[in-house]
Amino acid sequence: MLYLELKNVSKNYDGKNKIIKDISLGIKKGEFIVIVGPSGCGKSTLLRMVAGLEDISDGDIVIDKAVVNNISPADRDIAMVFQNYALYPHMNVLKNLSYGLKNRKISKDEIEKRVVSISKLLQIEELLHRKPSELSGGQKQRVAMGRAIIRKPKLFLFDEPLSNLDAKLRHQMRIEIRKLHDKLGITSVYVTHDQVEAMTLADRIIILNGGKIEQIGTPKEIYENPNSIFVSKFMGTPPMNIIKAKVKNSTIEIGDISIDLKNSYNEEYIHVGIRAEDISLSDFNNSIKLRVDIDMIEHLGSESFIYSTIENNPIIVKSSEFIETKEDKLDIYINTKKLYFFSDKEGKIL
Amino acid sequence: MKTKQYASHIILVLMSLIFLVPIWVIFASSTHTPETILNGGLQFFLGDNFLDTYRSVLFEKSGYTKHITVLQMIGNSLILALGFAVGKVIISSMAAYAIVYFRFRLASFLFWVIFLTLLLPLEVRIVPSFEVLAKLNLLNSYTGLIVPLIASATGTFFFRQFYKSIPDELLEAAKLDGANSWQFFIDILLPLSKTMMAALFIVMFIVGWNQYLWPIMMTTEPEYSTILLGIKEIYQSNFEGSYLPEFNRAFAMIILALIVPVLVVILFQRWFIKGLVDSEK
Repeated sequence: MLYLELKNVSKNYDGKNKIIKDISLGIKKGEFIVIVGPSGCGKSTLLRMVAGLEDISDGDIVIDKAVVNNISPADRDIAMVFQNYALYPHMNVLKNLSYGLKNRKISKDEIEKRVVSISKLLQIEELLHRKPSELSGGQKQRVAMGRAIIRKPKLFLFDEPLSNLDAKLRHQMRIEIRKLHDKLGITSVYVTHDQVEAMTLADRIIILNGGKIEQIGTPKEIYENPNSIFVSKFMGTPPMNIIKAKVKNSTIEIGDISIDLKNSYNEEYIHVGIRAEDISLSDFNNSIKLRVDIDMIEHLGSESFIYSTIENNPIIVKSSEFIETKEDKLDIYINTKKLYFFSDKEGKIL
Repeated sequence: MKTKQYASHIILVLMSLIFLVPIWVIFASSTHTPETILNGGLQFFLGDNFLDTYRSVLFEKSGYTKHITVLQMIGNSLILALGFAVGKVIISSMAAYAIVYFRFRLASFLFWVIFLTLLLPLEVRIVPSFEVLAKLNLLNSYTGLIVPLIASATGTFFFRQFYKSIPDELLEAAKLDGANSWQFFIDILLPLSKTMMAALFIVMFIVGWNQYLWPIMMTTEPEYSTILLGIKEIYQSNFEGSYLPEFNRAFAMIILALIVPVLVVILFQRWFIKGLVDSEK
């Protein structure tokens, strides 16, 4: 049963310049969906179209079986958390929380009851009489979420809510958002450019690129079966290593080794992908040896990243050991079972 | 460092004296009898006629026709200045709201039309304005005194600039919170522009209080006389009448005419500064 449905939705300004190109997708009740993509890919526009803050040029948006194209944002019964919080600066926290309820003519007793339970849930009880200017970033974020939750909306929209917070707070709030979702079970659509947020929060991820859906899937599916170079490089830290290799009679050559292709392939080049963690510094089964040039080694304490190149293709190797070497060449072992092959022209998986 | 501080203080004191001494001289003179002023010129020290002068000025009918007391004139001035200032704040905040937040054809063109009226002050259009009001039968009325002056290009411009500085997300949040355009204006925009409104109100109140040309044209009935017209009238009777020139009463009226605008500035300045310090934006 689909709860939010987008049917061939497009958006353009003044007839040309398509920002959203014919997007169709369905979201089930209670799902946590993260829309992720580079800046300018149209993810915020898409969210704002669902919210009703942007007009839809073409297609239909359906929330809970009702087409909402021409319904005002207030009547769509959705709540949104903005990047800069957008709290009302002149109202204290209490009034910020209750403003939406007051406009919906909900009784005073009910408003008070909800404020109490929400402020308890978000641990902002002590802040109720403060103005937004007297709150820290994390507290503002909580209040902004409270203002959204308190309405008990059908749909919860987040527009990069954590990007104004520092790294530590972002991590903490991320966990809290997920916990909150598990507790409340409200269908949520969350927009971010941060793939870590996408991986950790989402039930399903939608990857957007240039106004089109690149891939939809659970974090595991997306990570393990990326269907294009774009997705493979976008998801995961460090991004997947992509090596451009020449094809010769259904074998490819990288350096002085050659790998057999399962299927024949009739372009001149092919892109081979391998994740940093599928490369080892010691020999193991199904591995092939490559000799690479070391550019730099980065130590993070628990792990090291070795930045290297082979035939002008950068390769990042992740190692759990503290690597120290004076040499400028290194042997690495690649797991041949974890190789991905992408076509040269379209960058799609083969 | 110390000498520099002294120097700046001396400059400040001197400047204050330049402003305050004439006012003091007027006040001191107003406490003397008309005979003393006529014989001895302006007085620097207080006399003993304070109560007599001010009581008669405030409560006895004065002017050519002896129709209106100064207290009533102050009342008229207050009505004019308040209507003028409040009206300007209301009209210009609403005009700016329409220009900034509603997408309608010619919005920016209309804004520039409003802006261009800055080039046409009241003095330029005073004859046609008078004509219109005369035809509407609004001469000698508060409506006629206030309404033609109420549109404000300056105010509209300031409000427009202020509204443009308010982040769009606030409007969107309010929309999602179910506020209609009227509620957004009343609940969000107006409280945020408190400081702006206080500033505009102060300025406009003073301008309204000091209106001279328009009231003098508009009002022929003495009941509508403002305090400024009253001062002018008492001077006129000083020189044209057959009475003893009553400079003490004229001076007293000047002092009384000062009090209200000074109070307004003091009162609203506090609010104004508080608004700035709170910095809620």
